[in-house]
Amino acid sequence: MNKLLCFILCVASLASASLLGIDALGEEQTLGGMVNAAGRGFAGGAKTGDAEGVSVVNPARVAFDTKVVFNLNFYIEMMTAENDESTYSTTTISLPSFNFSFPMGSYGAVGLSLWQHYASSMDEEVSDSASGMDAAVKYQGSVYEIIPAYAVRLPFFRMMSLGASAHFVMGNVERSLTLGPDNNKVSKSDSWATNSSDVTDYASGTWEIKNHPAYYTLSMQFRGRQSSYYFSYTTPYVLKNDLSYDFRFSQLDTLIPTRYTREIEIPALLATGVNYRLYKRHNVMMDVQWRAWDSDVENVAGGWDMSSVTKTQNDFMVSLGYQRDGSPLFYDSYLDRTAFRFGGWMKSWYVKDVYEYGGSIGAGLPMGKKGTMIDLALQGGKRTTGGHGDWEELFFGIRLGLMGVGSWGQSRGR
Amino acid sequence: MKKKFVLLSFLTIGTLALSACLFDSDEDGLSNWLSDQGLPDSYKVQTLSIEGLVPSKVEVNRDSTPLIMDSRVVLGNASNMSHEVAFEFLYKEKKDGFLKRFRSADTIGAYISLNLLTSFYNEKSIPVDLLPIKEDLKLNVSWSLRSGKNEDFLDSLYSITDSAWVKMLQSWEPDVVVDTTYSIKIKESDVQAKKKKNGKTQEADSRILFEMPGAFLDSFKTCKKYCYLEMRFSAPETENLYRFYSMDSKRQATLNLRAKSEGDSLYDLLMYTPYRMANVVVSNDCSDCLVLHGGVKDSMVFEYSAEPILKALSDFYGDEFPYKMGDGYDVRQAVVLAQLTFARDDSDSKSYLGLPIWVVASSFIDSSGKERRVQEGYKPNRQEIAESGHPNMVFYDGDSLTLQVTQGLRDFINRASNGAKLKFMVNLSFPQLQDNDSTYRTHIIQKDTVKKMVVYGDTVEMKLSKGDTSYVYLGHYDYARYDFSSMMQKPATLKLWLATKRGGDDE
Repeated sequence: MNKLLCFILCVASLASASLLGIDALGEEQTLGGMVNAAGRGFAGGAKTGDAEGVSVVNPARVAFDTKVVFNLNFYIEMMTAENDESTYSTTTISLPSFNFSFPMGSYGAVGLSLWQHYASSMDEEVSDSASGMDAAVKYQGSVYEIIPAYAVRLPFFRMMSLGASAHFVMGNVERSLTLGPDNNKVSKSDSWATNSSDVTDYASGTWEIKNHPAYYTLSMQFRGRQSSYYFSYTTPYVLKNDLSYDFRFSQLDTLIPTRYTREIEIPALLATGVNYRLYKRHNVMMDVQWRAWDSDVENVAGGWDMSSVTKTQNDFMVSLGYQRDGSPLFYDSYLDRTAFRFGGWMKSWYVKDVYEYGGSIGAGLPMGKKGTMIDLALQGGKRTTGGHGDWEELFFGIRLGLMGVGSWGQSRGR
Repeated sequence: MKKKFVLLSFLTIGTLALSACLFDSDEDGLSNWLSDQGLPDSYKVQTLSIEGLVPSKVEVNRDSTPLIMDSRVVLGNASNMSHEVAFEFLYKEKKDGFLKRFRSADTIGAYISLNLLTSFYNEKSIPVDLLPIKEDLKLNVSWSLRSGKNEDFLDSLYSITDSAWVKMLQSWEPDVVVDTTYSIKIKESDVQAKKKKNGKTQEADSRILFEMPGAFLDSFKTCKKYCYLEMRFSAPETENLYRFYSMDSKRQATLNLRAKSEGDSLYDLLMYTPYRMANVVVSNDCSDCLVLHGGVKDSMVFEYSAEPILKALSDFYGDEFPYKMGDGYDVRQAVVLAQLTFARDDSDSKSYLGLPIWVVASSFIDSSGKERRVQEGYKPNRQEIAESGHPNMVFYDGDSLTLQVTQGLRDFINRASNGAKLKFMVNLSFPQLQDNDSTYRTHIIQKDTVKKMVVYGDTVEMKLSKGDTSYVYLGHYDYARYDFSSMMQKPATLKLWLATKRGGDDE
């Protein structure tokens, strides 16, 4: 168990790969990066079943689950950023979320998630063509949320459920830029003084919500015979990032850091979705999320020629998906028991002029008789940016989820 | 189950193939991305010279604290400083009853044996002649003796801590003071090991025996079962400074007692080593003279007012200094290196070993809200060293002294808004042996060379043989005296190598 926890923490310390908004909040892990959702194009917030598990935007859904669900999600992304002249590629591994839900029959259901909501990651060395010196740039930022949730089906209208979750925010951000000297502007007789003298511009800080312990999501779910709907509202909040800026010359030789707090106003999120069962186990689904950003996001920045803010735009996502559920009967063929998914999405990022188009296919591969499943999703797409010469990104990702399903606390015949 | 693994294997292989084919980087891809984000891949070095700096305050800390000397000790005078030797003996009468025989013997005697510091007197790197020395050394021997009969007395002596003993030495009043004269004759051969006929080497007998006066013998006779003897040697009139081994050496100092009664064919001997030894230093220089002495913990603290440095920075960057935004800690730029150059004039100063002496700077910086002193690092300018020697030495060619005060400048600019000043301390350290060798680390000499040195105006040749070890410093202090008065009268120049986070400096 200790080894597993250690592994999870190590992987969690890595983060997602996009470089867009890296100095602001980083990349948002949509819907907690859950593999089953990713396989159907991030649609299916309204899809109910025996063991769908927690949804970070629709806590009401878990009220319809009948089985205990634990899932762990991994994401490997290969990304290439390119503009008219250059290409830069990187690969990262992250653990966007793990979730646990426990249905309690007529008492509703509880859930708990750990969600890496925003993340930025980069750890590279680069050789400066002018000076020949090596520089190292490191970004490591994570806005984590611990999310307890509760959902219950209404007593006299069992097709309807209400859910609520609280998002307790924590995390940290670190930017380290180690630079060698460029002596081009000093006389040759003066260059000895800085040869091999690296300096590190270092910024680090922690995240929390300003003036509140958490922000909240409230949702309502309707499950019909063929179609299901949900509507959710997530409260606006202000993210507070206490930063300290420093110059480091060695581990023991540093300046006294200057401190600064940036505040980021995250607007309310409205989300809705529908799932329609076409025939037996075949489902089509569509989800929409929307946030109206009023203000720009202040960057870590603090010097050089970096922009001090990241301009924002309305953050909108629409996703369409399909899922063929796997058969619950163990005696059916393996293909029959396997769930198949595909979908696509279009998302406008919170970063101005950044749009993401992506598609995915996925499968839920049953492992044994007890309902344990490995979820797999392959996704790819493009993040476009507005201006000429700006960096666009192509990405290809593999998501792998381990879902454990149990029937704790459930009596036969219920 | 096999199918699943086959499927996963295909996916893994496919992913690797995709990553190799599609997700490839240009050579300058990351560098260009960083540049577009406004992030540099190197820092532009800028230099700034600030001339005309005069210290707002100079404070001399003359070292008058006795220093416990475990391995070596000095006796005599140098540089207006008198070095006295203090001994502490704890005596316990043994079962053989030596003290009883000592009291009743017909002939008794005692002497202190001090071994010359042969590692110093045989040091080949010292270009001046240290030996021979011949003089009638006028030695002032003083002591006090207390005795007791039981173990409690001895226990009370063992409980005297080093710091308590050092404090006691500062206000020590002897019971008896006796002026004596010793004839000292030391030749070079006295300190050199000799080769015996069988090919073995015999160590030099470099002992100097200081016979104790009769009054001391009388005093010692009063000793009961346990004795505490506090003794001090001082030689106020000599012009020499003798260097001896102290206690932690096989050539340690000893107190030797002898007694012989009628009928005895041999002397009854007893040898005691000191429990502690110390050097007590008496300075004859004025307390506020801008003078530093080598070999002792003298120091000089310089303070520079902030205004001229901050004004120069303000003119250079066009920004306000000190930085007053937020908490006021300035991290807009980094001092990569800082050095302060003084005009130097060695004419009022004196050294004894003919070697240049390293001047060490230590800055006072903030450490978690408390002032802490850190010794500054030294980055050698190899080209300059090869041409004109290390710039941080005195008693050497040239007319300037350059000290690196990088940590001090970093801290000062960082905390300038809180009223920080540039404050650092200097002291004389060891003599330099690699004065114009830019290697600046201990190494093995690769070929025979002859090194020419100017010693007190004369050129001296020193042979360096292949295979010899070249040390950075001499392992012995020069008890020199350096007068900083003229240096302080002339303004100094501060040179800074800077890295700034301010943008827009590409053109």
